Amino acid sequence: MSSSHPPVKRYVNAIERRLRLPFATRVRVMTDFSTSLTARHEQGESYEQIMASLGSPKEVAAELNSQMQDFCYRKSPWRFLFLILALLCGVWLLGWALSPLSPLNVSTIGGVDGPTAVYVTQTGSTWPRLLCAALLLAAGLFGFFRLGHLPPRPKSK
Amino acid sequence: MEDKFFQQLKKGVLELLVLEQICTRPTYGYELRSFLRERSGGLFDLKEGTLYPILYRLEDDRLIESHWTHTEDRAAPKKFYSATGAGREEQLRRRELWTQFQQTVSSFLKGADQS
Repeated sequence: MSSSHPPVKRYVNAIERRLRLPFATRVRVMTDFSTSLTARHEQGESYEQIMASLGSPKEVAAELNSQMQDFCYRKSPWRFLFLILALLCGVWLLGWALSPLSPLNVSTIGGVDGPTAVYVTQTGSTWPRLLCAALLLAAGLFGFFRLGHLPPRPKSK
Repeated sequence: MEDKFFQQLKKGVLELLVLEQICTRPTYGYELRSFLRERSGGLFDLKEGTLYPILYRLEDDRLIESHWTHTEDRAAPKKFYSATGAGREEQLRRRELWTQFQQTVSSFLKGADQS
């Protein structure tokens, strides 16, 4: 097929990257699309003519996504809740890292040498809170991504 | 408004025509598009992706099935669609439904013309 024609392979790959479809459906679409390219080429059109008539990969993918809406990933609006959670945790973690009381910013005051040195440290352990924030950040990002890639609605018979 | 109505009409019958053609003989996407365009005198000039959801719905409902065909003279294989037994039965049922539908609508319009 067109796999022996590098510009066509790049064109087809560029389309595939832009499809908002589950993997199995993407494979179906690309196999049919490739068959179509092959058929047109066998009927005398050059690959360059075919690609020019179809349009840019962005245009082709947009058209395919539009036609295949019933098969596209669904995006839940609840994903923004997870994004907000992730952002809040991220901001808290960043604030902690930049805080003067952070172990990352332990410094000394007073005499540096000898027994008069005074170290500024934090009171109590914040590691459990840090771990919790890091886990919530990860959960927030995972939730945002997952809720943006829900499977298509099952078709009613 | 008219274009939208016409689009809805085409959308309604496309699956019927696609299944009809696949029941006639195995075919692939591009050939199907060309056939619909030529047979309809350009009325069904479909874009590349328009057929895919129809084909996949029919395939998911097990009315058609796909397979790769390797021909002796050409190097590149093609993905063909052919009708299943259930598909042929369903198409007969849909043809009858269409005939009833068409007659009913025509009768309505005839009645409206005469009144």
